[in-house]
Amino acid sequence: MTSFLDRAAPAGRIAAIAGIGLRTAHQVQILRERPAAGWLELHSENYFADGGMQIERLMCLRSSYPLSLHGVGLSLGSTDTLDREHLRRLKRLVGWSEPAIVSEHLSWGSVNGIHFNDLLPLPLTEEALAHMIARVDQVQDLLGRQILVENVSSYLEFADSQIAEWDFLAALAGEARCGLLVDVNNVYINACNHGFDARRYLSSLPRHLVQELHLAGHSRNRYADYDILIDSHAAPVCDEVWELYDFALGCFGPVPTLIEWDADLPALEILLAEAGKANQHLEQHALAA
Amino acid sequence: MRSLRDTQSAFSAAIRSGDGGSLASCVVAHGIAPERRIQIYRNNHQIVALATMQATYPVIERLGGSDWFRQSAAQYREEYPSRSGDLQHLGDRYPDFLRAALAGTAHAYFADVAALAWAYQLVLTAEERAPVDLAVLRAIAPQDYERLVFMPRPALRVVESEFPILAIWRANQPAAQSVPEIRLDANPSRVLLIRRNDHVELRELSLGGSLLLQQWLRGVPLGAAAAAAMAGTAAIAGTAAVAGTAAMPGSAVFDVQSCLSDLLGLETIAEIVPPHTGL
Repeated sequence: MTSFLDRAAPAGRIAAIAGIGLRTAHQVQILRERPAAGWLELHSENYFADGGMQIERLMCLRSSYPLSLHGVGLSLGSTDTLDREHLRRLKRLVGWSEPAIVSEHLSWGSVNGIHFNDLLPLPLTEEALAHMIARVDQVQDLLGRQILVENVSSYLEFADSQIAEWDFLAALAGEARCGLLVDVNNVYINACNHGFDARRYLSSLPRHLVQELHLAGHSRNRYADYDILIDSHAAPVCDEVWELYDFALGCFGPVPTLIEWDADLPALEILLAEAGKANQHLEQHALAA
Repeated sequence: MRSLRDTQSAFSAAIRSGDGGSLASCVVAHGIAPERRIQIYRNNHQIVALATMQATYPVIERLGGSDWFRQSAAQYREEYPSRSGDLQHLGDRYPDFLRAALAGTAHAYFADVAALAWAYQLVLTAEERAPVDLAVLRAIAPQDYERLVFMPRPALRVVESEFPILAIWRANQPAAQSVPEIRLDANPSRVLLIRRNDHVELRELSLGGSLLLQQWLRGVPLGAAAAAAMAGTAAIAGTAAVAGTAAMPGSAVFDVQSCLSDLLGLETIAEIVPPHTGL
Protein backbone atom coordinates (compact mmCIF):
# COMPACT_ATOMS: atom_id res chain seq x y z
CA MET A 1 0.00 0.00 0.00
CA THR A 2 1.31 3.43 -0.88
CA SER A 3 2.08 5.44 2.21
CA PHE A 4 0.52 8.84 2.60
CA LEU A 5 4.01 10.42 2.53
CA ASP A 6 4.98 8.57 -0.65
CA ARG A 7 2.45 10.35 -2.81
CA ALA A 8 4.47 12.35 -5.25
CA ALA A 9 3.49 15.91 -5.96
CA PRO A 10 3.05 16.99 -9.55
CA ALA A 11 6.25 18.55 -10.88
CA GLY A 12 6.83 22.01 -9.42
CA ARG A 13 4.22 21.60 -6.71
CA ILE A 14 4.25 20.54 -3.09
CA ALA A 15 1.94 17.68 -2.12
CA ALA A 16 -0.64 18.17 0.61
CA ILE A 17 1.72 17.01 3.34
CA ALA A 18 3.50 18.68 6.24
CA GLY A 19 6.83 20.49 5.92
CA ILE A 20 9.17 22.06 8.43
CA GLY A 21 11.08 25.33 8.57
CA LEU A 22 14.76 24.91 7.72
CA ARG A 23 16.69 26.51 10.56
CA THR A 24 20.48 26.81 10.77
CA ALA A 25 20.68 24.74 13.97
CA HIS A 26 19.11 21.74 12.20
CA GLN A 27 20.87 21.98 8.84
CA VAL A 28 23.74 19.58 9.52
CA GLN A 29 21.43 16.91 10.98
CA ILE A 30 19.03 17.22 8.06
CA LEU A 31 21.92 16.96 5.59
CA ARG A 32 23.26 13.88 7.36
CA GLU A 33 20.02 12.03 8.07
CA ARG A 34 17.67 13.31 5.34
CA PRO A 35 14.61 12.82 7.57
CA ALA A 36 11.18 12.23 6.08
CA ALA A 37 9.99 15.82 6.10
CA GLY A 38 7.57 16.44 3.25
CA TRP A 39 9.21 19.73 2.26
CA LEU A 40 11.29 22.57 3.65
CA GLU A 41 10.41 26.22 4.03
CA LEU A 42 13.15 28.80 4.46
CA HIS A 43 13.27 32.49 5.08
CA SER A 44 14.31 33.92 1.74
CA GLU A 45 16.54 36.66 3.19
CA ASN A 46 18.72 34.08 4.97
CA TYR A 47 19.83 32.86 1.54
CA PHE A 48 20.43 36.20 -0.17
CA ALA A 49 24.20 35.83 0.27
CA ASP A 50 26.55 35.56 -2.70
CA GLY A 51 28.02 32.34 -1.30
CA GLY A 52 29.02 30.53 1.87
CA MET A 53 27.88 27.67 4.00
CA GLN A 54 24.15 28.44 4.02
CA ILE A 55 24.04 28.57 0.24
CA GLU A 56 26.04 25.38 -0.17
CA ARG A 57 23.84 23.50 2.28
CA LEU A 58 20.71 24.63 0.48
CA MET A 59 22.21 23.56 -2.84
CA CYS A 60 22.64 20.06 -1.36
CA LEU A 61 19.16 19.93 0.14
CA ARG A 62 17.23 21.22 -2.86
CA SER A 63 17.57 17.92 -4.69
CA SER A 64 16.14 15.99 -1.71
CA TYR A 65 13.22 18.19 -0.68
CA PRO A 66 10.68 20.43 -2.38
CA LEU A 67 11.28 24.01 -1.21
CA SER A 68 9.17 26.97 -0.26
CA LEU A 69 10.70 30.46 -0.01
CA HIS A 70 9.03 32.55 2.67
CA GLY A 71 10.05 36.21 2.63
CA VAL A 72 9.91 38.44 5.69
CA GLY A 73 11.58 41.63 4.45
CA LEU A 74 10.00 42.77 1.21
CA SER A 75 7.67 45.16 3.00
CA LEU A 76 4.86 44.61 0.49
CA GLY A 77 2.46 47.07 2.11
CA SER A 78 4.95 49.91 2.51
CA THR A 79 4.30 53.20 0.74
CA ASP A 80 8.03 53.42 -0.04
CA THR A 81 9.01 52.16 -3.47
CA LEU A 82 9.87 48.47 -3.61
CA ASP A 83 13.50 47.74 -2.83
CA ARG A 84 14.93 46.69 -6.20
CA GLU A 85 18.08 45.19 -4.70
CA HIS A 86 15.95 43.04 -2.36
CA LEU A 87 13.88 41.89 -5.32
CA ARG A 88 16.99 41.22 -7.42
CA ARG A 89 18.37 38.93 -4.72
CA LEU A 90 15.01 37.22 -4.29
CA LYS A 91 14.76 36.63 -8.02
CA ARG A 92 18.29 35.22 -8.10
CA LEU A 93 17.45 32.85 -5.22
CA VAL A 94 14.21 31.78 -6.89
CA GLY A 95 16.17 31.16 -10.07
CA TRP A 96 18.70 28.71 -8.66
CA SER A 97 16.73 27.09 -5.85
CA GLU A 98 13.59 26.50 -7.98
CA PRO A 99 11.08 26.59 -5.11
CA ALA A 100 7.57 25.23 -5.52
CA ILE A 101 6.19 28.16 -3.51
CA VAL A 102 7.24 31.78 -2.95
CA SER A 103 5.39 33.71 -0.28
CA GLU A 104 5.34 37.05 1.55
CA HIS A 105 3.09 38.82 4.05
CA LEU A 106 0.08 41.08 4.24
CA SER A 107 2.10 43.66 6.13
CA TRP A 108 4.56 46.50 5.86
CA GLY A 109 7.93 47.06 7.52
CA SER A 110 9.52 50.27 6.27
CA VAL A 111 8.73 53.91 5.66
CA ASN A 112 10.92 56.85 4.60
CA GLY A 113 13.74 54.37 3.94
CA ILE A 114 13.85 53.10 7.53
CA HIS A 115 13.14 49.41 8.12
CA PHE A 116 11.70 47.95 11.29
CA ASN A 117 12.38 44.34 10.27
CA ASP A 118 8.95 43.39 11.55
CA LEU A 119 5.60 42.41 10.02
CA LEU A 120 3.56 45.49 10.88
CA PRO A 121 -0.22 45.58 10.38
CA LEU A 122 -1.95 47.58 7.67
CA PRO A 123 -5.12 49.60 8.12
CA LEU A 124 -7.65 47.56 6.15
CA THR A 125 -8.88 50.36 3.91
CA GLU A 126 -9.73 50.67 0.22
CA GLU A 127 -6.50 52.65 -0.23
CA ALA A 128 -4.40 49.89 1.38
CA LEU A 129 -6.16 47.23 -0.70
CA ALA A 130 -5.49 49.06 -3.97
CA HIS A 131 -1.88 49.59 -2.86
CA MET A 132 -1.38 45.91 -1.99
CA ILE A 133 -2.92 44.78 -5.28
CA ALA A 134 -0.53 47.02 -7.22
CA ARG A 135 2.48 45.88 -5.19
CA VAL A 136 1.72 42.16 -5.48
CA ASP A 137 1.20 42.70 -9.18
CA GLN A 138 4.57 44.41 -9.44
CA VAL A 139 6.38 41.66 -7.52
CA GLN A 140 4.76 38.87 -9.53
CA ASP A 141 5.71 40.66 -12.75
CA LEU A 142 9.32 41.08 -11.63
CA LEU A 143 9.62 37.49 -10.43
CA GLY A 144 7.68 36.11 -13.38
CA ARG A 145 5.59 33.87 -11.14
CA GLN A 146 2.73 33.81 -8.69
CA ILE A 147 3.35 34.45 -4.99
CA LEU A 148 1.27 33.59 -1.94
CA VAL A 149 0.38 36.27 0.61
CA GLU A 150 0.10 35.36 4.28
CA ASN A 151 -2.09 36.88 6.98
CA VAL A 152 -0.06 38.19 9.94
CA SER A 153 -0.76 38.28 13.67
CA SER A 154 -1.51 41.74 15.03
CA TYR A 155 -1.76 43.42 18.40
CA LEU A 156 -3.74 46.46 17.38
CA GLU A 157 -6.53 47.43 14.99
CA PHE A 158 -6.95 50.74 13.20
CA ALA A 159 -10.12 52.74 13.69
CA ASP A 160 -9.94 53.60 9.97
CA SER A 161 -10.22 49.95 8.86
CA GLN A 162 -13.24 49.45 6.62
CA ILE A 163 -12.78 45.88 5.41
CA ALA A 164 -12.75 42.62 7.34
CA GLU A 165 -9.33 40.95 7.04
CA TRP A 166 -10.80 37.85 5.32
CA ASP A 167 -12.55 40.02 2.73
CA PHE A 168 -9.35 42.03 2.25
CA LEU A 169 -7.35 38.85 1.56
CA ALA A 170 -9.97 37.43 -0.78
CA ALA A 171 -10.18 40.68 -2.74
CA LEU A 172 -6.38 40.97 -2.89
CA ALA A 173 -5.93 37.42 -4.17
CA GLY A 174 -8.81 37.78 -6.62
CA GLU A 175 -7.54 41.04 -8.10
CA ALA A 176 -3.77 40.43 -8.01
CA ARG A 177 -4.14 36.75 -8.94
CA CYS A 178 -1.87 35.71 -6.10
CA GLY A 179 -2.51 32.74 -3.84
CA LEU A 180 -3.10 32.77 -0.11
CA LEU A 181 -1.02 31.29 2.67
CA VAL A 182 -3.32 31.06 5.68
CA ASP A 183 -1.55 31.01 9.02
CA VAL A 184 -4.08 29.24 11.25
CA ASN A 185 -2.24 30.29 14.40
CA ASN A 186 -2.36 33.94 13.29
CA VAL A 187 -6.11 33.65 12.62
CA TYR A 188 -6.55 32.24 16.13
CA ILE A 189 -4.35 34.96 17.67
CA ASN A 190 -6.16 37.79 15.88
CA ALA A 191 -9.58 36.31 16.68
CA CYS A 192 -8.64 36.37 20.38
CA ASN A 193 -6.90 39.77 20.25
CA HIS A 194 -9.58 41.55 18.24
CA GLY A 195 -12.71 39.59 19.07
CA PHE A 196 -13.90 38.04 15.81
CA ASP A 197 -15.00 34.52 14.94
CA ALA A 198 -12.01 32.54 13.62
CA ARG A 199 -14.28 30.06 11.84
CA ARG A 200 -16.07 32.81 10.04
CA TYR A 201 -12.69 34.15 8.89
CA LEU A 202 -11.66 30.77 7.46
CA SER A 203 -15.00 29.90 5.90
CA SER A 204 -15.08 33.28 4.14
CA LEU A 205 -11.89 32.64 2.17
CA PRO A 206 -12.41 31.15 -1.32
CA ARG A 207 -11.18 27.53 -1.20
CA HIS A 208 -9.35 27.67 -4.53
CA LEU A 209 -7.13 30.57 -3.44
CA VAL A 210 -5.63 28.86 -0.38
CA GLN A 211 -2.46 27.00 -1.32
CA GLU A 212 -0.60 26.64 1.98
CA LEU A 213 -1.30 26.63 5.71
CA HIS A 214 0.97 27.54 8.62
CA LEU A 215 0.83 26.22 12.16
CA ALA A 216 2.86 27.59 15.08
CA GLY A 217 2.88 28.14 18.81
CA HIS A 218 2.10 31.39 20.58
CA SER A 219 2.44 32.92 24.02
CA ARG A 220 -0.05 34.80 26.20
CA ASN A 221 0.62 38.21 27.81
CA ARG A 222 -1.67 39.34 30.61
CA TYR A 223 -2.62 43.03 30.81
CA ALA A 224 -4.82 43.82 33.83
CA ASP A 225 -7.95 41.81 33.04
CA TYR A 226 -7.24 41.31 29.35
CA ASP A 227 -4.94 38.90 27.50
CA ILE A 228 -3.00 39.49 24.31
CA LEU A 229 -1.69 36.52 22.39
CA ILE A 230 1.79 36.95 20.90
CA ASP A 231 2.94 35.07 17.81
CA SER A 232 6.14 33.75 19.38
CA HIS A 233 6.88 30.68 17.21
CA ALA A 234 8.52 29.32 20.35
CA ALA A 235 6.15 26.55 21.48
CA PRO A 236 4.18 23.55 20.24
CA VAL A 237 0.90 24.15 18.41
CA CYS A 238 -1.84 24.38 21.07
CA ASP A 239 -5.00 22.23 21.10
CA GLU A 240 -7.25 25.12 20.07
CA VAL A 241 -5.14 25.77 16.98
CA TRP A 242 -5.15 22.06 16.07
CA GLU A 243 -8.96 22.18 16.27
CA LEU A 244 -9.03 25.26 14.08
CA TYR A 245 -6.63 23.53 11.67
CA ASP A 246 -9.16 20.71 11.29
CA PHE A 247 -11.81 23.28 10.52
CA ALA A 248 -9.49 24.92 7.96
CA LEU A 249 -8.86 21.57 6.26
CA GLY A 250 -12.61 21.15 6.07
CA CYS A 251 -12.83 24.52 4.32
CA PHE A 252 -9.84 24.24 1.98
CA GLY A 253 -9.24 20.50 1.65
CA PRO A 254 -5.78 19.04 2.34
CA VAL A 255 -3.08 21.62 1.46
CA PRO A 256 0.66 21.75 2.21
CA THR A 257 1.10 22.67 5.87
CA LEU A 258 4.15 24.09 7.60
CA ILE A 259 5.15 23.75 11.24
CA GLU A 260 6.83 27.06 12.09
CA TRP A 261 9.20 27.11 15.05
CA ASP A 262 11.80 29.89 15.16
CA ALA A 263 12.64 30.70 18.79
CA ASP A 264 13.61 28.29 21.59
CA LEU A 265 14.14 25.82 18.79
CA PRO A 266 13.51 22.21 19.89
CA ALA A 267 15.37 19.09 18.76
CA LEU A 268 14.66 18.22 15.14
CA GLU A 269 12.81 15.09 16.29
CA ILE A 270 10.26 17.21 18.16
CA LEU A 271 9.73 19.41 15.12
CA LEU A 272 9.28 16.33 12.94
CA ALA A 273 6.81 14.90 15.46
CA GLU A 274 4.71 18.07 15.14
CA ALA A 275 4.85 17.68 11.36
CA GLY A 276 3.80 14.03 11.81
CA LYS A 277 0.80 15.20 13.79
CA ALA A 278 -0.16 17.58 11.00
CA ASN A 279 0.18 14.69 8.54
CA GLN A 280 -2.32 12.66 10.57
CA HIS A 281 -4.85 15.48 10.30
CA LEU A 282 -4.14 15.86 6.58
CA GLU A 283 -4.55 12.14 5.99
CA GLN A 284 -7.88 12.05 7.81
CA HIS A 285 -9.16 14.83 5.60
CA ALA A 286 -7.72 13.24 2.45
CA LEU A 287 -9.52 9.97 3.28
CA ALA A 288 -12.73 11.81 4.05
CA ALA A 289 -12.49 13.61 0.73
CA MET B 1 -9.37 59.24 7.22
CA ARG B 2 -5.60 59.25 7.46
CA SER B 3 -3.62 58.27 4.38
CA LEU B 4 -1.68 54.99 4.40
CA ARG B 5 1.59 56.91 4.29
CA ASP B 6 0.61 59.12 7.24
CA THR B 7 -0.39 56.04 9.22
CA GLN B 8 2.96 54.40 8.49
CA SER B 9 4.85 57.58 9.41
CA ALA B 10 2.95 57.77 12.71
CA PHE B 11 3.77 54.11 13.36
CA SER B 12 7.43 54.85 12.64
CA ALA B 13 7.48 57.73 15.13
CA ALA B 14 5.79 55.53 17.73
CA ILE B 15 8.43 52.81 17.39
CA ARG B 16 11.52 54.97 16.95
CA SER B 17 11.01 57.91 19.25
CA GLY B 18 8.41 56.49 21.57
CA ASP B 19 6.01 59.21 20.44
CA GLY B 20 2.88 57.06 20.13
CA GLY B 21 0.37 59.88 20.50
CA SER B 22 -0.37 60.31 16.82
CA LEU B 23 -0.70 56.58 16.19
CA ALA B 24 -2.69 55.95 19.37
CA SER B 25 -5.40 58.31 18.17
CA CYS B 26 -6.23 55.94 15.32
CA VAL B 27 -5.94 52.63 17.23
CA VAL B 28 -8.96 50.80 18.66
CA ALA B 29 -8.63 50.15 22.41
CA HIS B 30 -10.65 46.89 22.83
CA GLY B 31 -9.99 46.78 26.56
CA ILE B 32 -6.28 47.63 26.37
CA ALA B 33 -4.92 51.15 26.05
CA PRO B 34 -3.62 51.85 22.51
CA GLU B 35 -0.29 52.93 24.01
CA ARG B 36 0.07 49.49 25.58
CA ARG B 37 -0.66 47.82 22.24
CA ILE B 38 1.88 50.03 20.47
CA GLN B 39 4.43 49.16 23.16
CA ILE B 40 4.30 45.50 22.01
CA TYR B 41 5.67 46.55 18.62
CA ARG B 42 8.26 48.80 20.22
CA ASN B 43 9.42 45.90 22.40
CA ASN B 44 9.54 43.50 19.43
CA HIS B 45 11.65 45.99 17.51
CA GLN B 46 14.12 46.34 20.37
CA ILE B 47 14.31 42.58 21.01
CA VAL B 48 14.93 41.69 17.36
CA ALA B 49 17.51 44.45 16.87
CA LEU B 50 19.41 43.54 20.04
CA ALA B 51 19.39 39.80 19.23
CA THR B 52 20.77 40.52 15.77
CA MET B 53 23.54 42.74 17.13
CA GLN B 54 24.40 40.13 19.78
CA ALA B 55 24.69 37.46 17.08
CA THR B 56 26.94 39.70 14.97
CA TYR B 57 29.10 41.21 17.71
CA PRO B 58 29.45 38.65 20.54
CA VAL B 59 33.09 39.67 21.14
CA ILE B 60 32.13 43.32 21.59
CA GLU B 61 29.38 42.30 24.03
CA ARG B 62 31.91 40.29 26.00
CA LEU B 63 34.43 43.13 26.00
CA GLY B 64 31.96 45.81 27.08
CA GLY B 65 29.60 43.72 29.21
CA SER B 66 25.95 43.04 28.46
CA ASP B 67 24.53 46.23 30.03
CA TRP B 68 26.95 48.47 28.14
CA PHE B 69 26.35 46.55 24.90
CA ARG B 70 22.56 46.80 25.25
CA GLN B 71 22.83 50.56 25.61
CA SER B 72 25.40 50.88 22.83
CA ALA B 73 23.29 48.79 20.42
CA ALA B 74 20.21 50.91 21.21
CA GLN B 75 22.12 54.16 20.58
CA TYR B 76 23.50 52.71 17.37
CA ARG B 77 20.00 51.78 16.21
CA GLU B 78 18.82 55.35 16.85
CA GLU B 79 21.74 56.88 14.98
CA TYR B 80 21.89 54.30 12.20
CA PRO B 81 18.39 52.82 11.77
CA SER B 82 18.04 49.73 9.60
CA ARG B 83 18.03 50.53 5.89
CA SER B 84 17.32 47.03 4.62
CA GLY B 85 14.60 44.42 4.85
CA ASP B 86 17.42 41.92 5.24
CA LEU B 87 18.30 41.90 8.94
CA GLN B 88 21.78 40.68 8.18
CA HIS B 89 22.76 44.23 7.20
CA LEU B 90 21.72 45.67 10.56
CA GLY B 91 25.22 45.94 12.05
CA ASP B 92 27.04 47.26 8.99
CA ARG B 93 27.79 50.72 10.43
CA TYR B 94 28.48 49.67 14.01
CA PRO B 95 32.29 49.91 13.65
CA ASP B 96 31.88 53.53 12.41
CA PHE B 97 29.49 54.26 15.27
CA LEU B 98 31.94 52.90 17.85
CA ARG B 99 34.85 54.78 16.25
CA ALA B 100 33.02 58.07 16.76
CA ALA B 101 31.51 57.19 20.13
CA LEU B 102 34.71 55.85 21.73
CA ALA B 103 37.38 58.05 20.12
CA GLY B 104 39.93 59.17 22.70
CA THR B 105 38.68 56.75 25.35
CA ALA B 106 40.35 53.65 26.77
CA HIS B 107 37.91 51.60 24.69
CA ALA B 108 38.78 53.09 21.30
CA TYR B 109 40.04 49.68 20.20
CA PHE B 110 36.46 48.30 20.30
CA ALA B 111 35.89 49.93 16.89
CA ASP B 112 38.67 47.93 15.25
CA VAL B 113 37.52 44.69 16.90
CA ALA B 114 34.02 45.45 15.58
CA ALA B 115 35.49 46.02 12.10
CA LEU B 116 37.04 42.56 12.38
CA ALA B 117 33.66 41.11 13.39
CA TRP B 118 31.90 42.78 10.46
CA ALA B 119 34.59 41.61 8.02
CA TYR B 120 34.02 38.10 9.41
CA GLN B 121 30.31 38.36 8.47
CA LEU B 122 31.17 39.56 4.96
CA VAL B 123 33.66 36.74 4.42
CA LEU B 124 31.10 34.18 5.64
CA THR B 125 28.62 35.21 2.96
CA ALA B 126 30.85 36.22 0.04
CA GLU B 127 30.90 34.49 -3.33
CA GLU B 128 32.88 31.26 -3.50
CA ARG B 129 35.74 31.22 -6.01
CA ALA B 130 38.42 28.55 -6.12
CA PRO B 131 42.08 29.56 -5.79
CA VAL B 132 43.89 30.04 -9.07
CA ASP B 133 46.02 27.25 -10.50
CA LEU B 134 49.50 28.77 -10.44
CA ALA B 135 50.40 26.83 -13.59
CA VAL B 136 48.90 29.79 -15.50
CA LEU B 137 52.10 31.72 -14.66
CA ARG B 138 54.15 29.35 -16.83
CA ALA B 139 52.47 30.69 -19.94
CA ILE B 140 53.39 34.29 -19.11
CA ALA B 141 56.69 35.86 -20.15
CA PRO B 142 58.72 37.14 -17.13
CA GLN B 143 58.87 40.64 -18.62
CA ASP B 144 55.04 40.77 -18.38
CA TYR B 145 54.90 39.90 -14.67
CA GLU B 146 54.79 43.48 -13.47
CA ARG B 147 51.63 44.10 -15.47
CA LEU B 148 49.78 41.05 -14.11
CA VAL B 149 46.62 41.75 -12.15
CA PHE B 150 46.17 39.42 -9.17
CA MET B 151 42.46 39.25 -8.36
CA PRO B 152 41.84 38.16 -4.74
CA ARG B 153 39.12 35.65 -3.91
CA PRO B 154 35.86 37.37 -2.87
CA ALA B 155 35.65 35.51 0.48
CA LEU B 156 38.63 37.39 1.90
CA ARG B 157 39.21 40.66 3.77
CA VAL B 158 42.13 42.43 5.43
CA VAL B 159 41.59 44.45 8.62
CA GLU B 160 44.37 46.64 9.99
CA SER B 161 44.59 48.12 13.44
CA GLU B 162 47.14 49.81 15.66
CA PHE B 163 45.86 47.47 18.40
CA PRO B 164 46.46 43.70 18.72
CA ILE B 165 42.89 42.94 17.59
CA LEU B 166 43.48 39.31 16.58
CA ALA B 167 44.74 38.44 20.05
CA ILE B 168 41.79 40.32 21.58
CA TRP B 169 39.36 38.54 19.23
CA ARG B 170 40.69 35.09 20.06
CA ALA B 171 40.81 35.71 23.80
CA ASN B 172 37.21 36.96 23.89
CA GLN B 173 35.35 34.33 21.94
CA PRO B 174 32.09 33.46 23.74
CA ALA B 175 33.41 30.03 24.77
CA ALA B 176 36.74 31.36 26.11
CA GLN B 177 37.06 30.56 29.84
CA SER B 178 39.63 33.11 30.91
CA VAL B 179 41.09 36.15 29.22
CA PRO B 180 44.88 36.56 29.26
CA GLU B 181 46.25 40.03 29.82
CA ILE B 182 46.76 41.72 26.45
CA ARG B 183 48.83 44.89 26.20
CA LEU B 184 47.02 47.33 23.92
CA ASP B 185 50.36 48.91 22.92
CA ALA B 186 51.75 45.56 21.77
CA ASN B 187 52.25 44.94 18.07
CA PRO B 188 49.62 46.29 15.68
CA SER B 189 47.49 43.79 13.76
CA ARG B 190 47.08 43.18 10.06
CA VAL B 191 44.55 40.39 9.93
CA LEU B 192 43.68 38.28 6.92
CA LEU B 193 40.22 36.71 7.07
CA ILE B 194 39.69 34.02 4.47
CA ARG B 195 36.91 31.44 4.15
CA ARG B 196 37.99 27.86 3.86
CA ASN B 197 35.13 25.37 3.36
CA ASP B 198 32.68 26.10 6.19
CA HIS B 199 34.86 28.23 8.46
CA VAL B 200 36.69 31.55 8.40
CA GLU B 201 40.43 31.43 9.06
CA LEU B 202 42.03 34.47 10.70
CA ARG B 203 45.80 35.00 10.65
CA GLU B 204 48.30 37.79 10.97
CA LEU B 205 49.93 39.01 7.76
CA SER B 206 53.34 40.63 7.52
CA LEU B 207 53.28 44.38 6.92
CA GLY B 208 54.48 43.89 3.33
CA GLY B 209 52.00 41.08 2.67
CA SER B 210 49.13 43.17 4.00
CA LEU B 211 50.10 46.20 1.90
CA LEU B 212 50.52 44.10 -1.24
CA LEU B 213 47.19 42.32 -0.79
CA GLN B 214 45.41 45.62 -0.22
CA GLN B 215 46.86 46.92 -3.49
CA TRP B 216 45.56 43.80 -5.23
CA LEU B 217 42.13 44.35 -3.68
CA ARG B 218 42.14 47.74 -5.45
CA GLY B 219 42.99 46.09 -8.76
CA VAL B 220 46.54 47.49 -8.95
CA PRO B 221 48.90 45.44 -11.23
CA LEU B 222 51.82 43.60 -9.60
CA GLY B 223 54.59 46.09 -10.46
CA ALA B 224 52.77 49.16 -9.15
CA ALA B 225 51.36 47.18 -6.22
CA ALA B 226 54.84 46.06 -5.15
CA ALA B 227 56.19 49.63 -5.49
CA ALA B 228 53.36 50.97 -3.31
CA ALA B 229 53.84 48.21 -0.75
CA MET B 230 57.60 48.93 -0.64
CA ALA B 231 56.99 52.65 -0.15
CA GLY B 232 54.40 51.91 2.54
CA THR B 233 56.78 49.58 4.37
CA ALA B 234 59.57 52.15 4.33
CA ALA B 235 57.23 54.90 5.54
CA ILE B 236 55.93 52.83 8.45
CA ALA B 237 59.42 51.63 9.41
CA GLY B 238 60.62 55.26 9.27
CA THR B 239 57.76 56.46 11.47
CA ALA B 240 58.50 53.70 13.99
CA ALA B 241 62.20 54.64 14.06
CA VAL B 242 61.43 58.34 14.63
CA ALA B 243 58.97 57.48 17.37
CA GLY B 244 61.47 55.11 18.94
CA THR B 245 58.96 52.26 18.85
CA ALA B 246 59.39 48.81 17.42
CA ALA B 247 57.88 48.10 14.06
CA MET B 248 56.51 44.61 13.47
CA PRO B 249 59.24 42.00 13.17
CA GLY B 250 60.54 41.80 9.64
CA SER B 251 58.62 44.86 8.58
CA ALA B 252 61.50 47.22 7.81
CA VAL B 253 62.28 45.65 4.44
CA PHE B 254 59.78 44.76 1.76
CA ASP B 255 60.66 41.52 0.05
CA VAL B 256 58.36 41.07 -2.93
CA GLN B 257 59.34 37.45 -3.53
CA SER B 258 58.60 36.48 0.04
CA CYS B 259 55.27 38.38 0.18
CA LEU B 260 54.18 36.96 -3.15
CA SER B 261 55.07 33.47 -2.08
CA ASP B 262 53.20 33.85 1.24
CA LEU B 263 50.02 35.26 -0.34
CA LEU B 264 49.90 32.67 -3.09
CA GLY B 265 50.60 29.92 -0.55
CA LEU B 266 47.60 31.13 1.46
CA GLU B 267 45.45 30.65 -1.67
CA THR B 268 44.30 34.26 -1.64
CA ILE B 269 44.08 34.69 -5.42
CA ALA B 270 41.16 33.65 -7.62
CA GLU B 271 42.52 34.77 -10.95
CA ILE B 272 45.69 36.15 -12.53
CA VAL B 273 44.83 38.38 -15.46
CA PRO B 274 47.57 38.66 -18.10
CA PRO B 275 48.32 42.15 -19.52
CA HIS B 276 46.76 41.61 -22.93
CA THR B 277 43.42 40.52 -21.44
CA GLY B 278 42.92 43.72 -19.50
CA LEU B 279 40.24 44.03 -16.83
